[in-house]
Amino acid sequence: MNFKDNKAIYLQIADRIGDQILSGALVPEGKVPSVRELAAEIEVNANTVARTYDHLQQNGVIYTKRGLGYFVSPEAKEKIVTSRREQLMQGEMDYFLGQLKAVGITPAELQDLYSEYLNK
Amino acid sequence: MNTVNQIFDWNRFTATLRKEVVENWRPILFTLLGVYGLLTIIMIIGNAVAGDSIQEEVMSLQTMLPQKVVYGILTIIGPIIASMAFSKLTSKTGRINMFTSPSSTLEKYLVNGVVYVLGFIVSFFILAQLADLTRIAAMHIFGFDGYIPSAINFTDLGSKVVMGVGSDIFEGPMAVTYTWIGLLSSTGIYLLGSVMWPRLSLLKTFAAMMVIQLVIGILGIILTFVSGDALSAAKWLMDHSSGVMPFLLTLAIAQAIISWGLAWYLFKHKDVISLKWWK
Amino acid sequence: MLTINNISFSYNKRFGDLFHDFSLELNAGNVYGLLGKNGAGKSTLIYLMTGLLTPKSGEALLDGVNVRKRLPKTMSDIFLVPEEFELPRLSLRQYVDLNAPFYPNFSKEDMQRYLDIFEMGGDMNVNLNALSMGQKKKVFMAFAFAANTRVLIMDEPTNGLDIPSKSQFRKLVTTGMTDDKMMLISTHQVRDISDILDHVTIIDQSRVLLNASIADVMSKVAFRPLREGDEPLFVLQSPYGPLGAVPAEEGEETKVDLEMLFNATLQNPAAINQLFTTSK
Repeated sequence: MNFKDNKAIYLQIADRIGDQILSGALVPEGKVPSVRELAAEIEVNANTVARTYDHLQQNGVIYTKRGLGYFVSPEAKEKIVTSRREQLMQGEMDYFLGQLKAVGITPAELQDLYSEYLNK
Repeated sequence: MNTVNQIFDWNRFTATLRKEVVENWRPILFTLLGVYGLLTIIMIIGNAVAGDSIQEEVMSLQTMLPQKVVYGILTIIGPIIASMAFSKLTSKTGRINMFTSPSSTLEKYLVNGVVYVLGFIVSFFILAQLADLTRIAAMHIFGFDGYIPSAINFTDLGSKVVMGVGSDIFEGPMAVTYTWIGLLSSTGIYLLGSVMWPRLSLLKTFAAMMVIQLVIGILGIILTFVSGDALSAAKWLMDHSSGVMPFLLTLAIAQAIISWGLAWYLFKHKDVISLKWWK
Repeated sequence: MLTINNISFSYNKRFGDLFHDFSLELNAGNVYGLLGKNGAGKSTLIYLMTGLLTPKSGEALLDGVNVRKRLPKTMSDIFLVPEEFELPRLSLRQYVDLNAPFYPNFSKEDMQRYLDIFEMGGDMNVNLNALSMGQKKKVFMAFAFAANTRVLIMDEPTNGLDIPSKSQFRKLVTTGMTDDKMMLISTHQVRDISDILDHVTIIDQSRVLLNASIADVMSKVAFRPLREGDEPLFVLQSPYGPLGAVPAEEGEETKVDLEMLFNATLQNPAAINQLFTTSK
């Protein structure tokens, strides 16, 4: 069981929307499905989705236009990247580094591996 | 919907009635055809047998034999039909259906009880009329050479048909009323049984009636022994009323009111799961 | 909206009350889950709140009106999908024709939309009698939702549905739900309704063991792999190691595992009760 499965549902949904923004499936200033639409699509309680949207709004990832619905903020991508970086550093990074240490991977090896990955 | 009358609304009542009729059109049609068929056969046989050997007088209005036969059949079939009025209450799913449907309890009672029973009685007389006309047609078609009585009026019922006594004071407009009171009281009892015991209603109600009559009979016997004079009670009644008829009539009216009223009361208090034997 | 006030009820005087002085408030805009094993008393509670059973004492009210009166205005605002039901031998079109007039907010468009969710939208002339049990259930539920009553109660709605159909059911609930409706789903198949509830009521042997919003559960109970020092309310051995339900730490929010919560409550009612009655 990995960490992601454990996350509160409303946060998992937020991640999913974040993924769509990062991949370009949802564009800046583009419309986001309404709470009800998304709730029906993923078969989740609408109040949970509402909480997701609140969370995303608070983080500046989406905003509302009165009467028109929710839209992706122009700076959404940056906001998502920033918050994910923070989450990674505070959470999984520690665990990951611990795994590396346990199998004895040196900082140099790590650098090589990452450079190789980025060049792909 | 809040402004609409919560006890009776004509539109809602007709929607309820319509639903009932459309959902049950098969058994309704089957019953009506069956009754028509039965009556036609009986009348044809009756005509064939009677017209063959007996004079016109037998079939005259004085004896009212056909009417008596028809009325007699109704007194048997009527209660049977009445015992099935609330058969929906037999199953749990039927009860859930009945209680959750958004008509008023009165409307449900009227549709399942009143319209169903009274509707049947009225239909019965109409079917008797049609069966009789069919008899005439059939007798002619078969080339029957005996006496073929002309169309008999089954709606002109007098107490003579009901009681078979030649009492003058019960002629005229009141006569039909007596017939109806008799039918209402007998069907009423079986209607009550239908609400009390939806399962095996006819059987249980009949058994209950037998028991009640037995009890009354035993009480009568005890009363006789106690009072020492078998006829004193009956005599007292005869002296203090203008006859047996009003007494029986009052009894019948009371029986009808109590049966139909009690059926309504029990229906109102019925639940999806019965906790008491009458509920 | 639907208020259960101090209801007491028993089937048999000898065994004592099934429900004693039980109260519950059901508000609009929420999907309530009534969870319990078979025979726990869920159906009884449902009958009491829909006017089908008379309580020994207390009452169930819809907008202040006693539901046992079975007034038309009450019954036309409550729709019950029972565990078992019968459909008449009519076509779907006739059925809608005869029954829709009793529900003032019935919508034919909604009916079509819900039939589409169940992939049954095609033929309005289909004879209801010719449908399989699962199909009958879908048609009936589509009608129930299309009636747009403010109260919609479903007793074991996913029983007899195959897995794709259970998913369709969840879609039906999340599509049909609005802010002015209240839905209650009673089931022992807890997994089928995960993530669509707002509130959960768990009963066992007709006692209410838990009555809380999902948000509350999420803030008070964590569902995760167990660590040292944990005092779990329920443990499940998995290939990944022991998983469990534990009292949540400050700010800890995990995905609510309804099945685990259900098992934890049944197994450890006292601990659960304490967790939810002590205010934080």
